[in-house]
Amino acid sequence: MRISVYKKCLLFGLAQVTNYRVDMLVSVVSKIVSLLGVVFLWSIIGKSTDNVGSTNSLLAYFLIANGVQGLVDGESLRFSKEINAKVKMEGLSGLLLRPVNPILYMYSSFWGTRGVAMTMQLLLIGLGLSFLERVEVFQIVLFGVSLVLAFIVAFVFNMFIGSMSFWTPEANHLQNVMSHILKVFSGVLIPVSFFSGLAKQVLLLSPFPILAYLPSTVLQKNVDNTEILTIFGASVFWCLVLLPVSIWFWKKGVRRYEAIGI
Amino acid sequence: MKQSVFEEVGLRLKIMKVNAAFSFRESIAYSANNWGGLASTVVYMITYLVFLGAIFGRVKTVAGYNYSEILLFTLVSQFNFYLAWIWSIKNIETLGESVKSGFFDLILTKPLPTLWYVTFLKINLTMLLIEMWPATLPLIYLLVKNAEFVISLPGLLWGSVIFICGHIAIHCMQFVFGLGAFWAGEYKAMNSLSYQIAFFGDSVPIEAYPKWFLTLGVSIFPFLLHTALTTSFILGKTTDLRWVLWSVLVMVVFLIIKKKMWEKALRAYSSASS
Repeated sequence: MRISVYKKCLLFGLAQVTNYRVDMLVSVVSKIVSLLGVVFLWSIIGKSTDNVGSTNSLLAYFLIANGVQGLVDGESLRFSKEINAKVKMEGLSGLLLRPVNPILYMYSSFWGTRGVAMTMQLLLIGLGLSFLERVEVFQIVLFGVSLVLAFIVAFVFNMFIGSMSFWTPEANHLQNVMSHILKVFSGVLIPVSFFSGLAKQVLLLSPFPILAYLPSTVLQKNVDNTEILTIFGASVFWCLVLLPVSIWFWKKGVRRYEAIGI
Repeated sequence: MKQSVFEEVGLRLKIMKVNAAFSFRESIAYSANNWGGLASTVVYMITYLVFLGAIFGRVKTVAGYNYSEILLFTLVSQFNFYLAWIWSIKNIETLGESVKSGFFDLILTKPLPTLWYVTFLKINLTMLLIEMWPATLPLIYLLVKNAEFVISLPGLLWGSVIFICGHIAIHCMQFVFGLGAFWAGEYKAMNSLSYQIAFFGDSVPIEAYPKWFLTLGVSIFPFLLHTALTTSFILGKTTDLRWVLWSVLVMVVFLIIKKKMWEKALRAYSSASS
């Protein structure tokens, strides 16, 4: 019975967003334009160096990286905005009184509203895959695993930034700050391999590359690549550490919210 | 009684002054917002400079532009970006929201030149003082440190003219996209699309574009004027003055389109609400 609540919530969110069909289609075009900009820039850079790879691998990389990051909500951190709106304006008190898990409830509703965007992101990933010459089954499996890890890491970032709303009403700016950082360091704007020396080593051990760089690279490189293994190891570590901490952080915030509400 | 031209101009200047003063008071009242905005823009600038640093760690030039020239390109693009946020983008968003919520009815009842009023509803000068300069400082520092180009006075002058024309033309284009709210009832995706188009050429010099794309970017969607063509003129890479005339022409055409589309949108709004 409880699962059906979240399912209905998801479907309601989907119905909400599909009401504005023109808006929906235009948002798809908008995403394509934004992506074309990145691909165009890299095709220009590709002409200046041999390190970037062929046009096809470049297209595949950016299509998949952008698709994955959009799919897991790991760039604009839109879910954190939802939390911020609920805490700041209205809605959270009502949710806390209902016999539901507020995070799950908000997350289901959020994914409902993201239904169309997610389809678009899946299409981007599919398109990216079509540019790859050969993909092995094991690579697809690893891509699936990296996608799950990316979902968790993106959720964690959303929870941290969203929960900040309990302390400051200006958490939306924090979301912007985080969004800029994620754009550059996750690999959606520039492949992590373009960094060198210590900066690259630090990045590989951070939770950022899992959101775009790893899922995209795992389909193009050998899986015994040290770089890939490092990011996988670091991502599992970050998931195990940050997920419980983010939930603890949310609960701490809710206690504070209740104290203000009473 | 019909107003004289001077009275009309005076009224418009007064609207701008009052709106700027109100926007200033409003932004000062929410000071935490300013600090948040500053943090966001500073982080953006720093991450973008890291991005440029990583690219130019591997390549010497991008479309014929070296590191210092790309830094100048970024500076021009940042000026355009902040100016757009100071007076244009926010107002287009507000217009869309007011049409969606019905608040636009109230705006129509005011005895003011409505198009002018909605165009300059908010003029956020606080952004200029608190966000633009502090955030741009790291870029200016790097630019001064790495400057390897010479800027001529005519180049700077003509570049500035193209910048102003391009900035106004792209505002008009974004405004026309925003008017979609009068027909569709929703505005966010249209605004997002126009934003993506307006800032499409923000990382790539004009010399890199194929001819057909260049034609598109200086005419129907004039996103190449405000930054790419401006920088090319400032650096002396483009010197043909016909581009200056063309920019003025594009601006005038877009101003006319904006006015005509506004009239159409108002007619659509009346029929929708009656």
